[in-house]
Amino acid sequence: MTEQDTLQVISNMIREVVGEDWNFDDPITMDSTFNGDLELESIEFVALAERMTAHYGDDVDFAGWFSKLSFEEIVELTVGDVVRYVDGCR
Amino acid sequence: MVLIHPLTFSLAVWYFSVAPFLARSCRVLLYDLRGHGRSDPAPDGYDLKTLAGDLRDLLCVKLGATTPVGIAGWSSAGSLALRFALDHPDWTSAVAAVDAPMPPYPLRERVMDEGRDPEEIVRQFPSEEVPVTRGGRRRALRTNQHVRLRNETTFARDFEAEGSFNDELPGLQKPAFLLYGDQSPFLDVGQCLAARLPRAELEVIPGNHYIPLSRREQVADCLAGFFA
Repeated sequence: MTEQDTLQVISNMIREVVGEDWNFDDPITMDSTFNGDLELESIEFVALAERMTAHYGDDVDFAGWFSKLSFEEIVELTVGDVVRYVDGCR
Repeated sequence: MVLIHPLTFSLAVWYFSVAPFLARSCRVLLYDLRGHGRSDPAPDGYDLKTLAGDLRDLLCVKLGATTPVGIAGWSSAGSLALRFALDHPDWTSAVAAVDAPMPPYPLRERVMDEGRDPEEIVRQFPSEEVPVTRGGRRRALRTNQHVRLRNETTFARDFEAEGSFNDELPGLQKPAFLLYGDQSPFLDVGQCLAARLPRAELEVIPGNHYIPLSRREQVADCLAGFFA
């Protein structure tokens, strides 16, 4: 899978997690931030992480990844950061 | 180990802070309290005894736990963790309270001792839902969840009515870890707890009430060392 393929898969998961509350009209890009652009609630990101773990299996370890990020990096996380992490695990 | 989030928060507050570090050395269970995060809304039962019962049911009924577990809570959940250890000792191996604001005495009395009006604090809780708009989605979602807790449940009433369980603390025979920030407004509570709990260990680290966020790795190390 290419980076764009992973972006598409994760973008679909984001829309599924947010559901009918989705009001983000712009396309989700690698530069979209979860906090500022997509305005995901932190609990929604947890749900997203669970979906990604269910989809990609034990190859991804979000807990381990977050322990290596500073709190500021977590707050500024982009969709691209997650795509690159997932692709790097596989 | 179970990490319990404070009232009005969700499990996400642990997920992004302390839990990733703790997960390096032990299994960590996070869950949303009733009416919080992605748990089902509940009209009542926001008192500590009922919330402790929810955790007992989660462990024993839903997860099929067979051995006692370590229980840790931050802020109001620290009080909940102590309540759980008192009510369900068979399921508690040890308990930790991170910057717990109460006991030793009820929130209403503490607020009044500080010269504030308890009713005013409840009134400051948002009472009307706000529209979810671009640029304000996160704030609106949090506000609206708080509004629903206030207007559609007994949360505010149960929280304000929570009484002290000081008299029960000397009977808590489990190891208890009390972790507080040296700038926390609740440090005196930790000191009182340490004096009342027969097997308590108090540790004070730099920081305020938000040490799980500002000192996440250190808090994780402290908890891991205690529960090891």
